[in-house]
Amino acid sequence: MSSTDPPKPPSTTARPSSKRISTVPTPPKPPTSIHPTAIIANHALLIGTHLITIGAHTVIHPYARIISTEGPVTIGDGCVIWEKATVGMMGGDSSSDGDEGVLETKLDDNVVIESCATVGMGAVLGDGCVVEGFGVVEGGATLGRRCQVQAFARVKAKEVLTEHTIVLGDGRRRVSKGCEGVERGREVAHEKMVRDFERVVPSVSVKWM
Amino acid sequence: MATRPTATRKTAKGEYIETDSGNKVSRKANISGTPNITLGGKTVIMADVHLRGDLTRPKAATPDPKGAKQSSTSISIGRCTVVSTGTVIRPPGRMSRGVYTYYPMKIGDNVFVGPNCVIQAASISSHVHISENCVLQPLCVIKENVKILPHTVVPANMVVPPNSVVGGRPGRIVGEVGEGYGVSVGAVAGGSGEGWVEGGDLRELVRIIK
Repeated sequence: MSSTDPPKPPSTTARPSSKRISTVPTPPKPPTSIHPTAIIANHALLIGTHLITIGAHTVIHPYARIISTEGPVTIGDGCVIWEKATVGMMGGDSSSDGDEGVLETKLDDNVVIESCATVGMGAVLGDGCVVEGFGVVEGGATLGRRCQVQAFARVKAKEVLTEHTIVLGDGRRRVSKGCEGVERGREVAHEKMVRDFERVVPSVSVKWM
Repeated sequence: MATRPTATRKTAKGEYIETDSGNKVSRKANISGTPNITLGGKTVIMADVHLRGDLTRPKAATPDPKGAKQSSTSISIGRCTVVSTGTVIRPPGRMSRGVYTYYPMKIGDNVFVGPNCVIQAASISSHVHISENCVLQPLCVIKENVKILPHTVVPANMVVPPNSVVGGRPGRIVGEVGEGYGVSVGAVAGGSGEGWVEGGDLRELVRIIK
């Protein structure tokens, strides 16, 4: 009985190799200009077609995403982008595409983007801004120096905030008077934190160059 | 005629890797700094959970005079704790004596952490229930039997006393957990498949996660 059945041809070609290879095509690497002292963690993701510039001592944590599909992304010195944060979010809901041009997403020096926070494409964040966890800065918004977007707060598209504005989680705003001593302390702490990452986060920035 | 078994390499891989002590860690969890993380046993780490064990305390320049070995554990999680999908757990850091230091984070037993939270607490005691989409900002301390409502932001350095309910943005104490918190009512009578309650023993929940 079994002899009548044609024997199955040995499917040597169809056998999967021992190493599985992802079938999803890897997105093309964006053009980058990365300062040699910047730290880009292993699983950080840089995607897009425009130039991504990353300044000195900036740290991109694992699973953070920098997206430059809509325009160039410039990140200054000493910035920290925490895990699961997104900079240059794709398809930002800025509905008016009337003023074409290229939208540049720009983060000045010492900006901190916390976990799960989002910065839309074309947003401009001044020196020392902080976007806390789940905070959203929509596309085209402009934040002055030392603005703080607290957890779950939202800055609408095209909004302009003056320096030292604090956006509270419930949508209210206030302008901090700013205390020289506190600010100086914060600056020192930030610098020490950024420098400390050299110890704990291994960099694979070469991969993206 | 022996034909080659067609179903090669079809060993059914579960989603979770189970360790000897009963910890269940998802294959899709994003864990860095594995040597610096301790799990107490019967603890579940679900998919897409980020554990940042690589953020450790800097090594002391001068060794401890008592000769005590400096431990490098940065996250320690107790028994029967469940960490749900999309949560980020990261040890908090701050300036201390002129050095930027990360503080080891302790999470107790029977703690439930809901989906999509960001946890940077200094310590979380046992029988704490953290609902979904919460943010625990750096160095807050959560004591025993605390319930944190959904979408809460617990501010930095806040100490939440035992038996309280925390909610809002910024989080404040909105009440106390009642007498029956953590006591499962239906466990004896029904056995309706649930078998676990907020703040109670999570062993049953851990058991059914596969």
